[in-house]
Amino acid sequence: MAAPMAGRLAALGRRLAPPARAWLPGLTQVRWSRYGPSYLEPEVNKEVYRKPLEGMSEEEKTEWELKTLQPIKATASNVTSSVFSDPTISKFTNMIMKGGNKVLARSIVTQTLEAIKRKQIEKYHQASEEERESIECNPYIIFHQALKNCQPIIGLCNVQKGGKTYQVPSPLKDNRKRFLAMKWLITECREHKHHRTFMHEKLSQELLQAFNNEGPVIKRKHDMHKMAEANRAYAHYRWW
Amino acid sequence: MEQAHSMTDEGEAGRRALWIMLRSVKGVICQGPKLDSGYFLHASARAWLSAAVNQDVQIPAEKPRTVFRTSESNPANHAEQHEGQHYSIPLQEVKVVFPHGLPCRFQMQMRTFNESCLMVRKPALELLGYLKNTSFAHPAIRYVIYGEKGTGKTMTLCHAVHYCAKQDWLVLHIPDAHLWVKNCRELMQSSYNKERFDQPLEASTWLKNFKTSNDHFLKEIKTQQTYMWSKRESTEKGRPLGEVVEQVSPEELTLVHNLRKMVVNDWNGGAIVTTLSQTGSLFKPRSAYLPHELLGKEGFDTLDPFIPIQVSNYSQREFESCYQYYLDRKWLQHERASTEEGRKELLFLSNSNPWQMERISAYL
Repeated sequence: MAAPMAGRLAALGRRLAPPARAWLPGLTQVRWSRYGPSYLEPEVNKEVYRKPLEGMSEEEKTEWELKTLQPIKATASNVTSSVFSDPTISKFTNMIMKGGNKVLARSIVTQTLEAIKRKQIEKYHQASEEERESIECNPYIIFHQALKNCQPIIGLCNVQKGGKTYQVPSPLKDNRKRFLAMKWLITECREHKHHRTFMHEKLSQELLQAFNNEGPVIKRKHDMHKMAEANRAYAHYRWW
Repeated sequence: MEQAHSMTDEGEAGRRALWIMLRSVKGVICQGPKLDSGYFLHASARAWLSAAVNQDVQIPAEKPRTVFRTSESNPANHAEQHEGQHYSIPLQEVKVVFPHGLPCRFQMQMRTFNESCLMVRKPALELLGYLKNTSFAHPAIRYVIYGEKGTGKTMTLCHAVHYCAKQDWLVLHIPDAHLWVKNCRELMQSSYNKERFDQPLEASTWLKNFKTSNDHFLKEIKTQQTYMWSKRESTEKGRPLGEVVEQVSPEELTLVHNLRKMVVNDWNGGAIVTTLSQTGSLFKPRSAYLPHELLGKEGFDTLDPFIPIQVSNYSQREFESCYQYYLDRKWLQHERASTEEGRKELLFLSNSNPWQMERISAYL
C-alpha cells in the first residue's frame, strides 16, 4: 500500500478546496476542471423525468427548479440511459481494457456473462425439481455476489517507523475493496491460467468458483486476512 | 451460386487448378423419391411422425404460452395461422435430419435449452407452398433465398430441409460452399480428370453427414458403372450405393464442379434451394445482399430462371414471439429485461434483426 501521508493531506485539502480555496504547504492542485462550482451533475435515469411535478415534496420541487436554471456538466461517454447499464460492470470492463481497446474488453465481458448463463442454464435444465430452486441463473447476480465474496474486509498498509517499514492492518474504503477484488480476479485469470484458453472462459470459471466461495481468489482474500491477523501487534502504529 | 473458372495450367503441376469464385451458396438439392416416380412413400412418412414420441407438446392451458409455441411439429401442416410461432423438433430427429447445416449459435442454443425450436415465418411458408406443388415430371425449379445479414436465411433453408426429410425426399444438403473453397488443407489431383483437384477432407466429412441423413435411401440406389478406387478395390456395377459411400476416399469427386452440374436444372424430379449470403463471400462489400450483386454476371446467368424468396427482419408479431420464447426458456435473465422498458430497448437495439436479437439477449 502506498504511504497514506499524501492521501490524508489530499483529503484535507479537498475538503478545504473551493470555494474556501485554502492553500496548504506541499500541496499543489493537479486536477482541474473546466466546470465552475455552480455546475450540477447530469441525471441519466429516465424514471426521474417521468415523475409528475405534483407528486414531489417541497425539497424536490426546489431542487427541480434549480436544475432548470443552473448549468449542468456533460455526461461521460460511457454513461447511457439504458435500463441495462451497470456501473460495476463498466468499471470491470475498464479494468480489463488494455491499450484503450474498449471494444475488445466489452466483448470479453459480454462473452463472460453469456458463458456463465449458459453453464448455469444447462445445469438448471438437467437438475431435478428440488435442486432447480437453488441454482442461480442470472449472470449479473452471480457477478455481484462473486465480487462481494472476493472483497477483503481488512487490508495492510505500509507504515515507516524507526527506519523499518511495517505492514500494519487497517480498514479499507469501499472503493479500494472493490478495486482489489476485481484486480485479483483479472490477475488470476491472466497469469495463473493456461494462455491458450479464452479469457471469457477463464473469467466465467473464476466467477462461478468465487460465487460458491471457493477457488484461488477467495484463497488470496483469506491469505490477506491471515496476514492482517498475524501482524495484529503493529496495529497501534496506525494513527488515523 | 458458385462460378467455376477453371483456369487450368497444364504446365504447372503444383498450382491449384480450380480457382472458384464462390458467390456464397449454401445449397440444398432435394430429389423426389426416384424409386417410384411421382409417388410419395407415405408409409415411411408416417413412420417419421410416430418416431417423434417425446415431443415437447405444450398444453395450451396458459394463454401467453400459445402465442409463441405451437404443437404442430410436422412442417407439412404449417399454415398461416402458425406464423410467428415456434415448433420444436425432437432431438433424435435433429441428429438424423441435420448432421450439419444448423448455424453454430443455434446448435449452442439447442444444447443450452435442451430442445430445438424453429420459428415458422412467411418466407418459409411460401417456400414450403412451392415445394408442395412441385411436379416431378417437370425440370427442377431453382429457388434462391436472399436477404440482409442475420435475417434468417439459413434457418429458412433448414425448415425446408426438415420438410423434405419428413416427406421422404433424398436431401443433398451442402451447408456452406465457402468451406469447400477457402483454407483447403489437402489437394489431390483427380484421377478421373487430370485437370481437376479433389479435396479429400471436406468431401469425406460431407459424405459422412450425407450418409447419416439419407441412410435408408443408400441401400436402394444402385451404382450405374464400375468405380475403380485403387488397383485392388473396386465397386461392381449394380452394388448398393451405401458401399460406395463407406469407402470414404472420394477420388471421383471434384466437389464444386459437380455441385455446379447439379444446380443446372436439366434433371427433373425435385427442387434446388439455395441461400445467398454475404458472410463467407469473397470480395463482396458488406452491404451487398441482392442476388445480382452477390452472384455477379456469370453466377446470375447460370442460375438465371429462379424464384427469389426474400427474408427480412422480424415483424412486430415475430419479435414478440421471440421475446416471449426467450423469457419462457429463462434466457433473458436481467431483471429489467422482462419489463416494458426492457422490451422496448431490446427492440431498439436489435432493430428486429434476429441475429442481433440473439446476440444481445445472450448477455442480458
